[in-house]
Amino acid sequence: MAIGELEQVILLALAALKGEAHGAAIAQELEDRLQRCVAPGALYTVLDRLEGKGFVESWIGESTPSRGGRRRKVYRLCPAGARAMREWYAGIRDLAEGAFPVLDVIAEGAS
Amino acid sequence: MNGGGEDANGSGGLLSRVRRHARRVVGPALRRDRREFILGDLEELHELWSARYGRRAADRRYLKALFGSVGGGWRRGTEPGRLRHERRQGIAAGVLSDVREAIRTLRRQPVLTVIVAVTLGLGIGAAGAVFGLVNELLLRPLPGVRNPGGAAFVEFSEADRRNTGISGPLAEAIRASATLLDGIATFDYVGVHASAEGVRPREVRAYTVFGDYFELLGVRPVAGRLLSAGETGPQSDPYVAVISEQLRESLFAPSDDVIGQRLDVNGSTFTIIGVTAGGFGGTDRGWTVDLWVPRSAYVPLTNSLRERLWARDSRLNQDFVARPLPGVSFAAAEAELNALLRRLGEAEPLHGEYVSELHATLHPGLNVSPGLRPYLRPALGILALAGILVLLIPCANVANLLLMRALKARGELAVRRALGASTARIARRALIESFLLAGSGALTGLGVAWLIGRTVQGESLWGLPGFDGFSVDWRVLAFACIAVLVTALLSGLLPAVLAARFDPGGALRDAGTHVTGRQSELRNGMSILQIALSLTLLVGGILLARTVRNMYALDPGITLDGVYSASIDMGRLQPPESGALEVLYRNLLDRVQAVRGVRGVALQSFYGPYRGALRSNIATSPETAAQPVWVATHWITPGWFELLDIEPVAGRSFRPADAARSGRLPVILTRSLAYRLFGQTAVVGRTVHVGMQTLEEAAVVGVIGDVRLTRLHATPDEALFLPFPAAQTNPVTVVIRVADSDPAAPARIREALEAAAPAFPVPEPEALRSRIDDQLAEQRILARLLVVFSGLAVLLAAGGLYGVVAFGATGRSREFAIRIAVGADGTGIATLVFRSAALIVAAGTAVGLAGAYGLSTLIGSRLFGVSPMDPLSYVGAAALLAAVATLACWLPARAAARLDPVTTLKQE
Repeated sequence: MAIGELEQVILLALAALKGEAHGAAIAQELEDRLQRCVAPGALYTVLDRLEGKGFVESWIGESTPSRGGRRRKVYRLCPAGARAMREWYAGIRDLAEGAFPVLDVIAEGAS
Repeated sequence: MNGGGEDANGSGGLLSRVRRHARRVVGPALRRDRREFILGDLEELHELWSARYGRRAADRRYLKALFGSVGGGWRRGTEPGRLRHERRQGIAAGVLSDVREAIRTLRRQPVLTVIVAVTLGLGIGAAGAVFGLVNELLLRPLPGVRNPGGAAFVEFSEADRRNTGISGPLAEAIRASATLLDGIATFDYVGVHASAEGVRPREVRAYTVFGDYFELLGVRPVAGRLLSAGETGPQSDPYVAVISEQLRESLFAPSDDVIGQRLDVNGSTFTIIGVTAGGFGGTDRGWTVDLWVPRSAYVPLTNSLRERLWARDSRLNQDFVARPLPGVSFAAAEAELNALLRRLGEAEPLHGEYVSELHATLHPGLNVSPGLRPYLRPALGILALAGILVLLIPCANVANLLLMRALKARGELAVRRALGASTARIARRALIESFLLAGSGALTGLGVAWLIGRTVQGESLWGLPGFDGFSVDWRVLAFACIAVLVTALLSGLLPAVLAARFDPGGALRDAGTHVTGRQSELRNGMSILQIALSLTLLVGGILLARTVRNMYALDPGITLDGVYSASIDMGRLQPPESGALEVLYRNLLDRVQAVRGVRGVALQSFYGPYRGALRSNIATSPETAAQPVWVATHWITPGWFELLDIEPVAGRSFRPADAARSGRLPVILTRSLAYRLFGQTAVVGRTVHVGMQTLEEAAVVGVIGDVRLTRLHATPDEALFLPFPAAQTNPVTVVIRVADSDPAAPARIREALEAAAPAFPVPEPEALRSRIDDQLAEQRILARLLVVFSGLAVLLAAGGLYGVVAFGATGRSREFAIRIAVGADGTGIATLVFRSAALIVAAGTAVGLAGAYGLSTLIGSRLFGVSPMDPLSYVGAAALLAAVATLACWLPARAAARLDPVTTLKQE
């Protein structure tokens, strides 16, 4: 199953956050690591899609004063999600191993 | 709606306002199931961002992320969504959704909404009260008449004389030849005594009619039939009568079939052929009539000669009513009438004597007779002007309030505009809001109008039926709608335009309470206008109130308390024999004197005090008799002076022996008449010549002091008194003094009068004071309404000033805080606030005094005992206004003086 680029980074961020996080934390992680601003609306659209694929599960968490009393929605990485990411990255790694020597040659030749 | 309460961390920073506005506008566009989480996340992130990058950058990121979160297209309830919706569903749907949203907005701000509704309500109420008065007096259709606006009074006049009247044959000729008229009729007044079998006679107003009277008025009978045109000509039977429902009630039992019954009118027997329906009482609201008889009945009713009535040189027909055919204008009908007059004048030499000189004028609309209209118009004009002024003042208030609100909401507006709302759409939305506000104001206004109406309830003006309070009919509702339109446009247009012209970028950058100079100038200008208008009204109200007070303060020269009078009309046809008259007079005096509580009774000729007087000539010598003085004359019985506490300043009053007429006729003069005739008041014993037609030698036996008996006038009456009875003394008036204020006394006196004069109609005795009240009704109503209006105006202007000053003080709070921080004390700060207000008040006062001068010259002719330029009234009004203005500024000044500099500066 193909996983979109934004789906990947979100799943990775979720993994980096020990498998469990709410929207703001994920957005923050993406910004810190990738300097990438993802609007919460877009974030939730992707998370909903991931939930539909069975990669993440969610529940409604508690509200905090810093959220103006609004509740948070918390996501957890599911085994299926973790497996899918692992397989996806294994494939990428295989692909990359064969590709890197060529990349080195081209890159150095070009410079 | 946005799934959360207020900003937790938005404790007042200017930029957090941007976030709040953005959230309100964009929030609804977020998917409902995610909205809460998205907004919560954004708050959390915003906190992190501001710690990391600063407030400003955090805000920018917040907005970007918020807009980026809108997925799945813009939904309804957001600006682009609405635009698309409107494009698809048409403009009506867009307006409807604007209305819905406006209602929601107003409900979110109940205090503002109520203040605006009440403010506008006061103004609309004042204007509505004036309109209600006009409506009650003039606009309500005449009862029983079909389309009174489509008919007209016709006035025939010669070059220099108005309403000259025309002859019967000429009226017939006009009726026969006019082609553009649906009908024309004459109706002439006769006062008669009417009675049915076993019922006391009553004074009844009757019309003798000729022509299409009932047909053209569209009157319907409730029983029997009405007089047709054919029954009113020279050859018709005079002895048939149509009566009003009111007369039927007073003369017959409800169960009686009155058709065919006999009616005794001035001694002749008439047969009732019909009763008019719908309360019909003639064509003049101020002069209701209860009996209609054919024109030829004029002969038996007034004892005149039949030949005179239909003579070609008589001018007995004075009052005309006509109705142009459908589609024919009044002007065309009038032109035809005048052409007809010229043709008739040339064709017939008999008519020619004066017909070609005649000119016909149509006065469209039946309601009040044309003669009364010149009196009504200026008074109602003044009231209408006052009503409009009071309507304008709250419009300025509300415009100010809406302007301030628009300023506060400019962040929200900026976001709206950024999302594509056009200038026109934002203005429309703002206008819809002000329409809603004006509508609720109009509802309040109807209540206020009712309250104001109560202050003049029961007053009767110019003989028109008494104003019995404010009633709502379609005309009043139509007025309310117009008032809503006007107030909504006046109060909402300016804020709407300003709102629409906001620069979104600038507003987002500094969406604070920053006030631009132009807008504050505008608000100051409106406040100045309000103060000016209210001062204008206040001066007018004070001048009129003083006028009324001055009039009541005039010394009538007689005692008014406990004095009543009743006039008994003895009919004009067969005056009683002189022996019978003496018995009648004796009976009246004796029976009334015997009534419990009556202290004194006297008789006099004609109608008595404050109801007009007969006049006669007086001269000091036969040589000056060619140019006698024409003065009010009262024929009175002995005891009349004593009854009214009038003491002779020289000579004596009348004695019983004076009536016997032995020797020269005794006459008593008022001081001012004696002074005019002789240049002095020591005139007892001097000879004068008096009489109505021929002068008779008389001796002055006494002089009384200044009296005002016909009306409360600046100059005392020049009047003369002669012994009662006079040769011509119908009606006779009984003047009665009652010991204490006994409410049952008039009824008891009436019974005694009825017993003493069984053959004649007897009215209820009327207090002299109430007659004076009637005479002063116009000034009193004007004064009372103007005082109420100016009170309202001052209150509203004070409210407006408060708003402007408070808003200005809030805008300067940073300046004040700094001043306090560097050592200014509270008094100094309060002075600053007062100074800003003082400029407004001073400018308003200057303009207002000029306006007051304009208004007072307008009402100048109605003023009495006070000059239109009376300095005391002007200064007093200005001082009162200044006092109220000071009160209005006191609260904001105190608030400014108590500013805590630390919190204020931190907030800023």
